[in-house]
Amino acid sequence: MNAELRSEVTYYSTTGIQFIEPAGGVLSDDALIASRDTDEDLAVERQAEAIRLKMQDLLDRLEDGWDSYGARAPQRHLFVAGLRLIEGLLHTDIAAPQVIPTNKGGVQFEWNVGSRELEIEVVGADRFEVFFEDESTGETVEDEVTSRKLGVLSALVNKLKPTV
Amino acid sequence: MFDVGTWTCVPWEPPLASGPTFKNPPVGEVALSVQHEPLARLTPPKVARYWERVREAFPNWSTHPPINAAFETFGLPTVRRARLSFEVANAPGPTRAMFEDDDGDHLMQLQPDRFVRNWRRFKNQDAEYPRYATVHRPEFKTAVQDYLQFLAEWEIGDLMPNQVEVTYVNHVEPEGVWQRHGQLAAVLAVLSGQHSDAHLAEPEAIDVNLRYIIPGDDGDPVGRLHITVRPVYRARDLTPLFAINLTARVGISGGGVDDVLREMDRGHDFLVSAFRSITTAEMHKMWGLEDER
Repeated sequence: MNAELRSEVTYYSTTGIQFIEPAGGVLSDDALIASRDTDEDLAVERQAEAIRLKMQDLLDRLEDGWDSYGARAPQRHLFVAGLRLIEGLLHTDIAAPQVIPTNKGGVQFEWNVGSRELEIEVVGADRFEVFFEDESTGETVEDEVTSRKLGVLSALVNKLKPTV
Repeated sequence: MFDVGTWTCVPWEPPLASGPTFKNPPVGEVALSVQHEPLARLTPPKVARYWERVREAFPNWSTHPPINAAFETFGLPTVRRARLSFEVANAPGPTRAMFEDDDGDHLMQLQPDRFVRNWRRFKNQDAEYPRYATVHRPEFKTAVQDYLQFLAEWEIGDLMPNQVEVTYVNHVEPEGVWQRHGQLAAVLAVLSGQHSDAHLAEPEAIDVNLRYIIPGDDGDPVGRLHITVRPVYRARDLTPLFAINLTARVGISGGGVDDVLREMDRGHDFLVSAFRSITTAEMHKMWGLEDER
C-alpha cells in the first residue's frame, strides 16, 4: 500500500506518527498481574526459566520419530501454549514439574509429591488434559480444560502443597 | 461470491445481533477474526491457491508478520504477563497474507492459525457505515464457509476454532463537544476529568486502557473486552481525534461456523453495548443513538 493512499488513515499522534494498520488482534496478551514479594518472584522466575530452557532443548533437538515409534517432533504452538500455562502455575513451595515431550508433538508437565500425582498435557493451542491422583485418599480427577477454566488446574496444583 | 463492490450479492439473514445502534457511528474499521489450531499444511503455495479463488474481489496481495496467538485466561490468581518465549529457529516462520480490494476498504487476512475479514473507512470516506448484522456478519460467514470448502478441497485440514475476535476502531471527532485532548471526560463517561485540588490544570493528553470480563450464558467468564483510547490527529487537516479501539475476544472449543458466529455475536453485542456505556450522552447525541434492537 503506498503512502499516499494510506494518508487518510495516518495520524500524527502526540507521540509520533501512527499508521493505522488493519486490526486483527494485536493488543496485548492477558495481563492480570498479581503482586508477589521479590524473593518469591525470583524463585518462580528461576523455575520458569529452567523449564523454558528444557523445552527449548526439546524443540531444537527432537525430530519426527524421536522415540523410534513414529512420534511427532515437538509442535511449536503446543510448546508455546505450555510455556504460557506453566508460568502461571508455578509455586515456590512446590517443586517444578518434570517436562516430558509427548508422541503427539505436545508436552506434558508431571508432578509427583508423596502419594499425589498430577499430569497436565498440552494437546491443543488452548486445550489441556489433566489427570490427578492421590493414592492416600483415593481421589482422582480427569478433565480437559481451556484458558477459561484454568482455576481447575490451579486448584489441583494447590493440592500438591506440603500438608502441615 | 466475493463481489464486495455491492452488498446485494450477500444472502440476507435476519439480524441476530443485538445492542445499541447509532445513526452515524464513528467507526473507522471493523475486523472479525477466528483464531484456530494451526494448519500445518497451509503453506505459501496453498495460500496462493486460495488467492486465486478470491483474487477477483481482492486483487492486491501483501505479506506481513503473523499476528501472535492470544488467549484470554481465567482462573489463575497468580497469572502474570507471559515474559518467556522460545528462541526463533533459522527456518522461515509463518507469514500473514493480506488480500485487499482495489479501494483498500475490504480486506481478508489469513495465516496458519487465524482468518480475518476487515472493513475500514479508507478510500470511500463518506460511505454509509455497513452494519454488523446485515453486512459484516453475513460477509464473514460467507467467507469462512468458502475458506472451509477450500481447506477441504485441498486436504489442508480441519479448522478447529479456539477463539473469536471482534475489533472496532472508532475515530471520535470533536463534534463541538470537546476541543482538546485533555478533555477526554467529555467523551468517556468512565472518566471524571476532575482533580482533588487546584495544583494541576487540564492534562495535555490522556491515554486510557480498560478491560472488562465478558460473561457466558451461565455467568462464568468466557472472554474479555479490551479498550484503548489514544489521542491522535487526523493527517489531512490535523483535527484532534480520539482513537477508541475495542477488541472483544471470546473463547471457543472447536465447533462449526454457527458456533463461531454465536460467540462472535456474543462478543459483538457486548462490545457495542460497552461502547455506549463508556461514552457520554453528549456524544451519543452527536452520533445519533437509536433505539436498542
